[in-house]
Amino acid sequence: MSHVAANGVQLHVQELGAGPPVVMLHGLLIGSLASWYFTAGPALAARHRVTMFDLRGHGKSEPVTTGYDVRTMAADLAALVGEREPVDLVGHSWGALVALRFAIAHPARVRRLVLVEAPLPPSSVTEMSALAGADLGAIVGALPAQMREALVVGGRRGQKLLASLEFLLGKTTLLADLAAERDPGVAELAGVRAPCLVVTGDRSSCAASGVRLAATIPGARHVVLPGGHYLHLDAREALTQLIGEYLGG
Amino acid sequence: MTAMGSTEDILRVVEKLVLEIAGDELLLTGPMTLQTSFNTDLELESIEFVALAEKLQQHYGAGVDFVGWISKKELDQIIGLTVGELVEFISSCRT
Repeated sequence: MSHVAANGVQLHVQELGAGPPVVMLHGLLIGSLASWYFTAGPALAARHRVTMFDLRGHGKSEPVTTGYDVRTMAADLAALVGEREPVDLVGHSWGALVALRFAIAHPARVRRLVLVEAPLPPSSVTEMSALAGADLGAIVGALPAQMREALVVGGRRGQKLLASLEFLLGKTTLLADLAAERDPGVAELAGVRAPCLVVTGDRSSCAASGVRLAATIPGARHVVLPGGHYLHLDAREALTQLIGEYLGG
Repeated sequence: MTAMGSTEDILRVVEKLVLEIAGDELLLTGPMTLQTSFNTDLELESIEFVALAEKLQQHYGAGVDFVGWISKKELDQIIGLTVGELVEFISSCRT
């Protein structure tokens, strides 16, 4: 396992392939670099150097208690990618907001931007909406089917998932950070210079957010795929193909 | 690059690597068999599966492209993967 110190946090990083650099970011709570590693990552790696990493507190990255806001995570990303050549960024959900913030803050360091299921306002993120009612049924219901099963069956994987959720929700600033997260400003979005692909699911609460992003980011293209919030699972092949073509597959 | 060895040799390598990743938390009550399922028997997390991919790469070298192999499978196939299928794949990479 490869860990890299970035912005004061040990991040778990995996790289596949060779070529122009692509960095992939996953969503909150139940996400990890495995979200991309077993979906679009390997196909992209046929023509790109694909870097996938666990966001702070997630997967095998350091379980820190603070810094789950978009700006801090964008600073993690900035430290991770360094000042090398510009990178393509692919983000899912909160990871998409982190990629977007990075593109706003460091326009010269981003080549192209792929925003999958980016929630605006940020506090509307699916994982958050389910938690707002603190209803366990709603939380479980919002999980992808594969994880729902693990939690309901209650075996080893379910227990590990619960332990991770208990840490992130009970012992970190994650929920407060999410609630306090503001929308990017219209001027900020209008100032994004990187070519941008916005992808949303046809059964997702991020649909309106996708329309708004595509209308505000200059030249952005918006594609709707069949599926819900976890598009990398629901539309694994279609999303993989779409990203591959957009990034010059 | 390590020699591939027999099915039994590969099975013991996979068992050793899985134990390194999941340690004594593992639900394995007896020796790993070809029928052992990564999902229902071992209950490996997806991020642990990433670690297994890394360890297989380190052990066998680039000749065993586990990630490329898994990326061609449907999600249902990945979820239902048995140790035997992995062992057979590694064996098929023998040059």
